[in-house]
Amino acid sequence: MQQVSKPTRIVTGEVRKTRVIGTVFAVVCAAQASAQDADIFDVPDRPTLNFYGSPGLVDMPTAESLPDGTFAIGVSNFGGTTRTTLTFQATPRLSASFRYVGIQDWNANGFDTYRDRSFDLRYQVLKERRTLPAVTVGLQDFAGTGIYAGEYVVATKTFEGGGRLPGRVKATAGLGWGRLASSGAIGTPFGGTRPAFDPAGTGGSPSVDQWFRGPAAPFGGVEWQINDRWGVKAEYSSDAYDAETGNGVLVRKSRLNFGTEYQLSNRIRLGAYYLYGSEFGVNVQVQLNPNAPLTPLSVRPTGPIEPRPDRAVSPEAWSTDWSESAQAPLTLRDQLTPVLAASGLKLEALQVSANRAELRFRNTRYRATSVAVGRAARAMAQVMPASVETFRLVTMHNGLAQSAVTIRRSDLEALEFDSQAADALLAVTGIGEAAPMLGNAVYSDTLYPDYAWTIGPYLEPNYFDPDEPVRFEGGIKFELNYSPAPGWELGGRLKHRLVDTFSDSTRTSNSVLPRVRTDSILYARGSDTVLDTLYVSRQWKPGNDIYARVTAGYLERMFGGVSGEVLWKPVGSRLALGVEGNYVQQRDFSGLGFQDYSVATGHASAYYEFGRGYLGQVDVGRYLAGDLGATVTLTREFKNGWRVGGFFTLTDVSSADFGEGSFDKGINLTVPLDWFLGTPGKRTLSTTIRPIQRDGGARLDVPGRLYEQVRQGHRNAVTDNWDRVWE
Amino acid sequence: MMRRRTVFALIGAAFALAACSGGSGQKQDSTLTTLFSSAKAVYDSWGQPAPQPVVVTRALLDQTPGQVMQAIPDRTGLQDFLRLIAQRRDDGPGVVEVWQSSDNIQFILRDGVLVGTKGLGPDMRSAQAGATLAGFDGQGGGGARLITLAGGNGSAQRVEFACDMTQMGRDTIQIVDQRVSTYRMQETCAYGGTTFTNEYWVETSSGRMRKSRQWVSPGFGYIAFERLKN
Repeated sequence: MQQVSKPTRIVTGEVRKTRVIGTVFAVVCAAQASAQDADIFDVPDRPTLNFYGSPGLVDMPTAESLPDGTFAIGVSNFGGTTRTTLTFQATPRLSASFRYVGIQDWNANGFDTYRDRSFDLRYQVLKERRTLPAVTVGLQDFAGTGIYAGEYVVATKTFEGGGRLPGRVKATAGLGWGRLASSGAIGTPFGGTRPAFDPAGTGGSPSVDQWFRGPAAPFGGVEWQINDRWGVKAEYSSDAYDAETGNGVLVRKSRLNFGTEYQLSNRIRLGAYYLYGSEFGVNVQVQLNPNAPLTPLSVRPTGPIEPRPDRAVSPEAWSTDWSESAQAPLTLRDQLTPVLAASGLKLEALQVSANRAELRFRNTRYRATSVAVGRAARAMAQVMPASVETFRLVTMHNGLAQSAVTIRRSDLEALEFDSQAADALLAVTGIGEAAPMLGNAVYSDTLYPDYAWTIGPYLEPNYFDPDEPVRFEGGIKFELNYSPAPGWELGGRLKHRLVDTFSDSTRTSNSVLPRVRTDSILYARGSDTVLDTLYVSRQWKPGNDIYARVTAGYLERMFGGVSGEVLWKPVGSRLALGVEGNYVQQRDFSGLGFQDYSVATGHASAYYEFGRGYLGQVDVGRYLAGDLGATVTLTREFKNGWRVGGFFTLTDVSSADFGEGSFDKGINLTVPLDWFLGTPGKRTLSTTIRPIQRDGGARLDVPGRLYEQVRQGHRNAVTDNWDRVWE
Repeated sequence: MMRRRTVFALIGAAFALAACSGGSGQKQDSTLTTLFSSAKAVYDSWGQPAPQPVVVTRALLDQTPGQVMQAIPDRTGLQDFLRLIAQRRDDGPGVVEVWQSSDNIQFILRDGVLVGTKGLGPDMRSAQAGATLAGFDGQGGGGARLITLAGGNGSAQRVEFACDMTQMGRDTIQIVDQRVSTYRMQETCAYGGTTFTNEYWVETSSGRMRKSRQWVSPGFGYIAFERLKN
């Protein structure tokens, strides 16, 4: 070991910004980064999008799939129709789309501008082979009475490198039903009839009885990608645009559509088109892959581990006499605390003996628990006397001990520069349960009372008002979290509104159920200054695998009351079970008072980790409007913290009583802030998008539910990101 | 181009409102504020002149304590000087050296062969060097090298490259004011459609690697090392 000081003579005196290698390269690399999932060397073929935001030609789909995990955002406009679509490639073969459409000058069915939401599903049945095309089955606007309802089976084959043509040619042929068979139908292969579009229906339910029924019509086309930037498309459309032509929105003179596209950047493609012999159109296609961060995450490395002296050469260094001293644990705690703090870790408790030490610490910086564990282990190796061989590292989250990672110090020393350093360390690491409390330990004397506060701007969008697709409210918020002791928290959020287009909405509730969610406009019309939440909570571990929480106060904007939860989640288990009970009363539109409506609501929940980042959750119980039912949620979580989920809730409320949409459903999206910034952090941007918010199947929004607090520190979450343990 | 896009993305998400925060714990700004200040930092970095390369002289080296390694990544061509922060032996082949850049990036070398980086983002997390070091015996050779590379999402991929070492003969290189007699070797490694070629110059008198150009990762490319002062 040899410590060498920085070569200051060479560096000083020069015009030299530090961050020479890291920042500049991080930025350059990001521009080069492509989808990196299955194989980081693969540059997957990236399909182009159609006017529906799906892989496709101009208005017709193709059989291609997006690279796994990709988000595609398509905004297209022609003939007064604007379609905004978000498509997520949930698995390598399955994708789902959510679309919002506005058609101007509709002037029928009570709309000036027709606005509607629709969902699509696509499944690639066959991947493209050398001789065989890719085949995809798609359901367009599959849940409802929307004007876009249609199904298709489509095949696409890529031709490349042959003949005299440069670039790549993709030929597509398919058969459509429903809207996609409104022109040029050739028969009714699966029989049946399809009811006409009914603007008065509640919609929202999968219209299984209609799928692939009625006439079918062929469609097809060709895309020629001349080079990496330019492409041209031509297609034969099987869509008659009956509804649009009937309302005089557009004139359809031809079945043929043509277009040209330009790849503006790695993520953005622009297209210009001539459609149906009468209209010019444009399409903006954006493809983002969560696996390719905007700025690659880089973590400032720690110094290498200083190996302990050879025991045979200097046995005195290995003496255990130090452990006799009552002061030793306090001294070690005080030495360890700043080393941990340099890595964003906070020491909560330390228990030491001659050859073992247990550290309980809080991770404030790293999304991946493995990074925190690796850094805590190296901090221990830096501080602990040589005789301490076994490290137990327990991650703590708001007073809950998540898991205990046991690492031998000699393994840490031996494997730091191993050719498979992470895998080799995992093979000799134990991840087990952590007891609720640590006996015979020294605690941090600076941690409590712990508090944090923020004053800053906020912006809350509100989507899909039929008169104004995006409404929002913005202003200043003040947030406070005060923790007097482990597991206790006083939390609150005060908001003052400065700008607002939401309360202008005239769409007040027409619900026949207790108005537990649909009065949001009345809340928005209340006072500008609002106490959003103010609550006291306590969480603790009654047993090694059991977690508990009690919360009371103003739990959310619309309800206040008490909430209790118990969760069973063994450290290594994929399954977790929980029970939550709440008694809440509806809050006044302004001020701190309550309305008359109160309800006992609660759920029994089962959570399951399917592996590869797929998570499932089922909640069965009583909802805010007093309805009984269940919510199913499926989520895909990427290793870097992106989460995309879909959920639906079925309760004993009838479709008619529920109103538009028939039942509650939506999409959850969480984007980690560090994906943009490239510096480690745990914060995220989250949103839930519902086609429409009604009163049925509405769940209380309690702050600090247990499952995610616990899961992130358990075995599967830690090992999933173990590759980063040496960062 | 990337930076401009980042700025637009971030400015789109943020708007300027003063924010403050406090507490006994980590200082935490509101999310919008964080995005805005990040966008501003990127904006401010536009138009910064590229640092001028330092012409290394013997006098400059003599004034500098300790060992000095010059590093120039292909991507930017910007020069940096690394300092040796650790040196040790373990069960693996050769001597491990950890070199650190002025912006705290670490490069881990075994007898001069790159076996890891830390802090880059697109890092080489770990690598085998045995086959490479064995190929320095003057006979050439080669073999499999398992290299673990960081993915863009925090994952890592273990890749087994098939490598081949070629003797390029004696080569006299200039390092500052010294002419150094070396053996030059070239290592070509392949995995599927991906190949990289490393070059090494090993001093004939000491067997120490004086100069090399080595591949780090698909996201970072190559970096050239020159050991200026031992």
